[in-house]
Amino acid sequence: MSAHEASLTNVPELHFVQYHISKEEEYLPVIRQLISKDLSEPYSIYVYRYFLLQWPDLCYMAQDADQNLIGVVVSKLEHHRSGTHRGYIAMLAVEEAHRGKGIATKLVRIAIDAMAQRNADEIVLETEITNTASLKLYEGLGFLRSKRLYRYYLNGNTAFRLVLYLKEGTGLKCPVHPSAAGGEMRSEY
Amino acid sequence: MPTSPSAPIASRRANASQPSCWDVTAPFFEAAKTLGTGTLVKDEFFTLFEAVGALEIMDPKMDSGFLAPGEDLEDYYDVTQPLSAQQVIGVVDQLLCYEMAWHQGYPLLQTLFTSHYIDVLLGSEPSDINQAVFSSQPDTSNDAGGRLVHLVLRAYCVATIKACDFVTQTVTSQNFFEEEDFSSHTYNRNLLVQVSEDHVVALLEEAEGWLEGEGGVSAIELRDVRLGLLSRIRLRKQFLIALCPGLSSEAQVNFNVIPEMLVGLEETHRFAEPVPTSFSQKIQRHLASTVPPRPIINLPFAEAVKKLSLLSKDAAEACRIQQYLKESPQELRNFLWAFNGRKPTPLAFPRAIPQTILFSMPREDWQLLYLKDLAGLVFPEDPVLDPVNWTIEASPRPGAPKHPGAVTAEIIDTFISQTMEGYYDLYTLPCQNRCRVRRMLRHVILFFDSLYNPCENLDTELQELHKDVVEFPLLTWINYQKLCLVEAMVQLGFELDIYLSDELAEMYWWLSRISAHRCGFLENLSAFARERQTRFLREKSIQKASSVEQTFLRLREMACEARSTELLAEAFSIMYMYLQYQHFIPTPRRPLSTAALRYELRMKPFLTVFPPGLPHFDQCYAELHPYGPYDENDFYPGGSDEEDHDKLPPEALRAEKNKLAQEAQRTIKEAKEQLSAVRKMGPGLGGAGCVAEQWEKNIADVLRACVGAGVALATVDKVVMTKGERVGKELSIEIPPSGERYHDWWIVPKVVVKQ
Repeated sequence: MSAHEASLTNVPELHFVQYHISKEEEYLPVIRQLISKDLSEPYSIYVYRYFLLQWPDLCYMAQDADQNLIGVVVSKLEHHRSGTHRGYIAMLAVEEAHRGKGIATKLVRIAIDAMAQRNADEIVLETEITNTASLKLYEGLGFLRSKRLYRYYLNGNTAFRLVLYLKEGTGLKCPVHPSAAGGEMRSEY
Repeated sequence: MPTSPSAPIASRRANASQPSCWDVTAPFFEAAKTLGTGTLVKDEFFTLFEAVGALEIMDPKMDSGFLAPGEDLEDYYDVTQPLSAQQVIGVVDQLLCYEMAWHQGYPLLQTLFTSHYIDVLLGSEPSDINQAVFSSQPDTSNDAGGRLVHLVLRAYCVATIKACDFVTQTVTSQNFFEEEDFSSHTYNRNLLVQVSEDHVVALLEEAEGWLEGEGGVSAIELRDVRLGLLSRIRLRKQFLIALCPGLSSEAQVNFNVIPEMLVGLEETHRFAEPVPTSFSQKIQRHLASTVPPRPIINLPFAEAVKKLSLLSKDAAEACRIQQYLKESPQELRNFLWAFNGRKPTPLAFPRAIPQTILFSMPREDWQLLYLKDLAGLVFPEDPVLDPVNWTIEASPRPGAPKHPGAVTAEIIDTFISQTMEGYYDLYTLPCQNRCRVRRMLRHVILFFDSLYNPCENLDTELQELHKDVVEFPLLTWINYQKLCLVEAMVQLGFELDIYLSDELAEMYWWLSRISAHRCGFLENLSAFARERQTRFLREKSIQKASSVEQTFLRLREMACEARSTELLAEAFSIMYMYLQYQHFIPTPRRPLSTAALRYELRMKPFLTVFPPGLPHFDQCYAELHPYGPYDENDFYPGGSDEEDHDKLPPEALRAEKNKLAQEAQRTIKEAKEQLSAVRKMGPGLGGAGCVAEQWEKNIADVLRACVGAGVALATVDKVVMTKGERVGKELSIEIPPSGERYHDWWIVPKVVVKQ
């Protein structure tokens, strides 16, 4: 049994729920509230809807027994201009009081499983180079650092791009058509 | 809102030349009724990037026009009010802090454009210096407070804006990355582009004259305060002159004196009396209404002074490239890489300087540089590059066979035009920020790789005309450059902390293979040069023989350097294998990944590139695991066959693993010998004479890494031998992050003795 599975048993009341569009009024405000806490500049509602309306099945929430939101992961999956079927983890947040219990790892694993089932070649995300907790989480799962992105965030902080290949031959895929999505939170060369 | 016109849409379109407005409220609500709450209406071209750029009106964190109850839209500040000399110092020093934050990459919006003085100066869109004033009413009074504001502070502000204009011009004329390196946005404000530099200098001199003269002396009680202001005005002038685009021949000297001038500022900063009300975040509101309110970037004064000092030193160093334009291309590239490797990495403006100088060279000069490059590696004193070839005129007779010399020139010209883009990149690359250098390397490597077939064809044609040439000379040149780039990309991975600790054995193994390949190229080429030198000596062509000898010596130095990298990388790879076998670097469990998939991901930039040609994962795994898996999380799913090491009894297997420490030590020793040989040859031979100091320091740092690695290995080995399996209780290993190493590319593990 892995560390995160073991520690998850310490929060027995926790259950994991997939987002649903029909419940936007119930879910979205709390999701926004939870995610905004970690952001210097908030995302507009369009950013949330961009993900949640197109990939509601790639957003998962961790709720306690009283249905309070404890954690959330928001992701997407589409054909990237590099030629791969790319899953992208856009947002991940867990209530501060519940950190260190493996909830984020569990959420990420559920999202990645869902993307793998839908034929994703790779999973990609960015994280600040100083965010050791996040780096530890993803690198423990098998992600590698593929690029260092200088002053990637608006506050001037630098990021690592982390990548996980799910299928052999992903590295050999070639750009298909130039109009395909770029897809990161910030534009990139 | 005007009322809705009754004309149908079609007829309105027909009347498009006459602008008209109509109310769409009702039809909009009608249409919106058909959509559920939260439905996203977007076309297929709506990207995430655009979604991220969207704003929500009435959200104070996003809507810059949002007013809290009772809040004013703008802060009022009277820029014509008199200030004391101390207050002027306060404003000026704050402006310097913002200016340096802008140089770091932050937008004007969050820095200089938060100043009411700058806002007023630019708000009237001045087209000449007389319009760049704080008040349309000319300041006729001669009182001290007025002069300090309308002459001294104004001169400083105008010169600051003009400096921003110069910097923006220089940076944006070259390759840079918006926002990441530099923010060129001016929010539709003209940075006094039409105002001549001479007029700005004259204004600064007028302020200088007043401060030096009776007016200043009688107006400012404290002498040191007055001198403080003087030093600020003088610095401003000096900086402006140095920044002038086009970079005069004195630019280097002009930048060089700035660090010492800054001492005068630091000494008098204690007099600064801040005027916080003269800055406001609210100025953003009328400059950029489509971005959320952004915080003002506050750089401490000491930090700003340090940044300006560094920027000036970097700029002065960058200007030095002018001296080497006629030297060897190797010298130029060594200069650029050394410049880029300065710590901290030079900011966008100094990095634009070498580009400005290099890319103002005419194409013919570039071609000559390229030919020199070819001659230095694959065509030493070779008839292929004989200038005569370019002077042979075609025969007027139709169908007459072409002169071989003319055909040769055509082949080389074709080669140059087909590859020039990549050749320019060899010079643009080391002018980017370090992260971008690594990422751009990948693109340049792929470009060079795409030249394989065309170059092979040109070589075949060339070899039909010239029998005594290096085999596939053009391809060799391209492949050699490619190897250098691949090597640099791997090395930058170490520097930028891209690799995890359990990837280090693999990446040093890969680096060793690349350098071995490069060394092989250089050994072949130097052997060819040696042979040619002997032939010239035999033919009594003394001058040519001595020129080829120079090439030979240089190639041998480069081979020696490549060999030292190969050996040291091999040693480090063995060292990390050893540390993994001793369980100092545990393999993470990585439930979602396999070693083969990670290999493919890590090696993605090199999967299709030849040379060096990436070995198959099985081979890599076997070479890095001579005694089987490192630990329980390290397993190779495909490797079920029994290996030799499986037959060994556990004690013997452990002894074999322990021997890796000695093997690493032996290889380090060999690498050190090579490095010492390179050091002995000196920087000049390999074209590093222009950066001799950095060259020496680099070798010294690599040698320190060798020693450090030897000590680390010996420490671990000793404890392993005495404590056996219990070694983990005695020692632990830490991987020092970039910046805390002997050398960024040679990661020496830190051995920590447990209490």
